[in-house]
Amino acid sequence: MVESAPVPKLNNPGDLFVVATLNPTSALTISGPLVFVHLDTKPTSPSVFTSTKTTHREAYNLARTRAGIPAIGVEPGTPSDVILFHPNGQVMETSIRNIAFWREDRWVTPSLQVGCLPGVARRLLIEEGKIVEGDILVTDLKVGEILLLFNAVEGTRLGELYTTFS
Amino acid sequence: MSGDQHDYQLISSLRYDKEAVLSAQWNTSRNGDKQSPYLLLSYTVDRLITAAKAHSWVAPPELTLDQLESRCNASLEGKDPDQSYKVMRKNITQLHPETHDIVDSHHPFTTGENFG
Repeated sequence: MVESAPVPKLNNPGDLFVVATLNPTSALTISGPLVFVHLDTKPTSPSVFTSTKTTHREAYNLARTRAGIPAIGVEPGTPSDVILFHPNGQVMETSIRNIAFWREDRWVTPSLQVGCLPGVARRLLIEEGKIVEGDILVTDLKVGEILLLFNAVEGTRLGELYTTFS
Repeated sequence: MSGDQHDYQLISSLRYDKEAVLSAQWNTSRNGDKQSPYLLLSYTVDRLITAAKAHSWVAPPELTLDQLESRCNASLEGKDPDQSYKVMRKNITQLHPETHDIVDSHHPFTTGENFG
């Protein structure tokens, strides 16, 4: 089955992945809203339902519920998302996007071994050298840090870590 | 083993965009050097086939780049060609096009489906 539905046009249609070339520690001119990103309060065990994309979305729906984010489709204007993490403390992905963190002057995305989805935008960004794989621990996350988010519908966009472990 | 025997489906979402994707060289080079308004469609094919194997399902032989683009085009028939769309690929054992309209907004969460 193939379904289609309208999505908004881009603020900057020149390059869906240009955001990945930005250094978030320098002055940024950002078009479009940042995604407010929460850290989940409970770990998620990796499974075939996190390493492949299916209609079985329980892990992602539970994470969104814990973060107080409405189910997809009923969310109001503020874009928000939640980071899922492995029981060993490694970041996996968000509920609808792959993610990267600015570490040592480059974007680092969790490796597939942690159980995250092998997104097609993620694959492109790795091939283009715009992100690299690495381990990201939840204990190293900082409230207010700028995040790189990506999927095959939006391309890349920036988020801000809004909550983490207190 | 067929996906029809399960209570879930493999899915994939991608962008259809004649403005931002069609002329993008990074997209063309990954689409057999042919321009396409579908974002990284060949990667979507790869991922669906890989996912089918992970679930011990057999991917249908018609799951090729050309066939999938044809099915996506069928899904978009009658739609505004200047609009951008999210295309959902569901149920790997069948290629049955279906379309539905959802209200536009400033960000794509309102389309009612997951993107990741």
